Amino acid sequence: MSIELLLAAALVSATPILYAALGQLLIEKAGVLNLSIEGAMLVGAVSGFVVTSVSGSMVVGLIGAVLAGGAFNAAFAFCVVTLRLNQVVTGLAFSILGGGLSAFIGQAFVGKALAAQMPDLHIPLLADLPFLGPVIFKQDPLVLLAFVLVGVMALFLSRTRPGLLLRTLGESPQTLDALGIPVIGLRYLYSILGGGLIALGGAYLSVVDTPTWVENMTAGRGWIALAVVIFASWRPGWVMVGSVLFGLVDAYRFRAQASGQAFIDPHFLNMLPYVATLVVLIAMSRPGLKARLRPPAALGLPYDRERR
Amino acid sequence: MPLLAVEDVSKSFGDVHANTDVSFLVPAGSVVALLGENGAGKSTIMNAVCGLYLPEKGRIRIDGAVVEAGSPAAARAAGIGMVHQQFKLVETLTAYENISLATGHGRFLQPSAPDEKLRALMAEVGFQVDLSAPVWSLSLAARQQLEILRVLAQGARLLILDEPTSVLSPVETEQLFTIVRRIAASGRSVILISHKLAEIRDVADRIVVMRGGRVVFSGENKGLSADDIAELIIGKRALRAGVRPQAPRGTRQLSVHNVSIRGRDGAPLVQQVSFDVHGGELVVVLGVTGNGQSELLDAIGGLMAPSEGAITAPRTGRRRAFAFIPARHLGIGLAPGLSLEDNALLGPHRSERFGAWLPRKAVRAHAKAVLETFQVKARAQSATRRLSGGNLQRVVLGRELSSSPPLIVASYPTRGLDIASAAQIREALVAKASAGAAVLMASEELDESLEIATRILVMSSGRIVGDLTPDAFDMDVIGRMMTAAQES
Repeated sequence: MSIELLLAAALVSATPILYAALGQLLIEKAGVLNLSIEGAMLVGAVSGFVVTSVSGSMVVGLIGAVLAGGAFNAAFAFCVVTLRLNQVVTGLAFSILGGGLSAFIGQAFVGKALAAQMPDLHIPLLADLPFLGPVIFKQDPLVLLAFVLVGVMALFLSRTRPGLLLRTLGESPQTLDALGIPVIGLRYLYSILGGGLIALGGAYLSVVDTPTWVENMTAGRGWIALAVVIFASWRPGWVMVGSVLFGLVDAYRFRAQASGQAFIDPHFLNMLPYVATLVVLIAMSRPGLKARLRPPAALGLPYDRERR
Repeated sequence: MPLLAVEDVSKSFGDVHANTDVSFLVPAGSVVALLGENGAGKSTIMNAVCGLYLPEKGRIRIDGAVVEAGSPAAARAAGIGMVHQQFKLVETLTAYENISLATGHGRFLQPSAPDEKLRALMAEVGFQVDLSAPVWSLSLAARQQLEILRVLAQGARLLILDEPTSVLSPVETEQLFTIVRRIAASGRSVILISHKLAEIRDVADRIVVMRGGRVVFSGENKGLSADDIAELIIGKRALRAGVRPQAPRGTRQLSVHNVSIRGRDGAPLVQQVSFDVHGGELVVVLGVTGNGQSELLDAIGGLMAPSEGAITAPRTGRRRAFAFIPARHLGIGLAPGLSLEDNALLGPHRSERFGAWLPRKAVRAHAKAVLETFQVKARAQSATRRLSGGNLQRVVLGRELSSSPPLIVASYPTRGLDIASAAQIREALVAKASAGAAVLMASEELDESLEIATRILVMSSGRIVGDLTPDAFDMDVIGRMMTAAQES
């Protein structure tokens, strides 16, 4: 296996994590701690697979997954934004709920295969570039879209007024409230948008990558996406770096298992994303880095105008 | 026509008349100092001007036109802007982003550099803030300039600054006043709310003095001496005959030697403070809020570590063996989620009579005794957070005094209490001192301190600027010490 193929496989492995992590980033920037991410990914995976096999169209299936994820997170937002329930407990409950719901919906579809398969892109000129061509431009369009989305989100956050309001929303919702901007409405909006992206990450696994439905098929990728967002200190560029690093580990593990010889134990590599997250958390606690890397100040705090 | 006219504004909270028929004028292009003691009604009238409070009576006019009462948006639209003591900036955003949050309504792209208009405003008023820096990296003085700039950028013509010098060093204060003068020169007006007389007198054109919710003076600054103003602020009040502790001076219980305390940002809060407290004494640390008294008492109580110096107080092992009543009863003095019974036990639980098993009978008896010390009428099982401020303070005091401590340190024990509760707590402290205990308390109320203290330590800017015994108690002298600026 050449280095090019390893990198290409890494980007494919990174894609579902990247979608989920970007969705998570949006939600957490809005100040909502979303621990339901693994559940939303599974809901996306099963609804994407079911809608695709019923409708026969991948595009319809992926849209279905996004809508399902949005609806799932709208219910979560109702609990934590409107009812102001504890976000940790509610998030964990929704995570388990999503797992159970997806297993229930998908039981008739286990082991079935999809008729269609996502064609790889073949962009003229770019795909013929040496090295970069096969790594980046001979992939399916969703891989490319994920990386384009990183740039779009980075620009959105740093260069637009809605992005500025989103950053403020997670830092100091009372500031927005004082300016007459609806805090609750915006938190719903970003919870739903983020839920859609997370579900798209799940659907990428079941519709494009595998493509099949297996119960609990995300296998902890939601938690890894959560860890990647912390590792990246809520910055889109670093979310991409974290996702690609995980993709590399995944691709290497797959290669090692296939060839039967491993330079590093794959089980050891499995552990690394969480170790990296802990290292970043420890770094964040240091006074010098605290202000630069810290999470949104209002993350996990329900907004209640009367309880300043 | 004056820029701002306040006409007969009255506002009360329950039975407390915070403002009664308050009227004054602010001419365009002037700097007005609004002076008065704590609780004189300064903040209330300013909140009414900003639309945060709805007054029962009276009008606010800008350029002769009545501003809709009780509407912050209407006040802002009329050109009224206030900079509060606690800055309302978003720390992770840059200085410029904080301003554009307020000014950039309706655009999509967010520029990263200020436009011509804002730069012209900065040049006009003489601001020196790096707009590309994130707010967390800015000094307090720079944050304050940023707040002022933000309010001006929103189109304010009347700028209200609440205690603007309390966070500033003398040099920074001078810079602020330079800015204030230039704002006034541009035709806008500035109201400065302050305790610190000497500083304000240099910069203000006009002075408004409030006392007991009323305006007692409003006029030109020229021709008034510092003594005149101090008298206006404090008023002619008869010294009430003291009910001081009458006890012979006992042994030394507390010794504070050359103590300095620094804040988390390194700013000096308390500087080189030394004093002793003996049995039978009731020592009051008196000063305007924010001059280091609460930090000093927190350090004595063990909530803060002094950066220099030594504090000697009764201890058993490494544990404090004296009573400490913190300024925040709910959260530090008492656990809000526990029952009164459990709260009464925190601290005394180490006493031998409870042993390891906390027998229910002994716990009940103890809680009953604590509640009865100051006649708290509440069930011992009820949740602590539901109690009123007066009752909370009674519970803390009852618990802390239950072991007859040789030293009692109380941080603002009467703050926020109604008159009857405050009197009861003062009496208890006087009684304890008469019985031979050493008492140290912090207060921001002149009358209370003069009434009960056997000794007053006046604090200003982290230093003890006066150490007085009852024969030297003089309202005017102490009032001036409290309001003195750092330089004098």
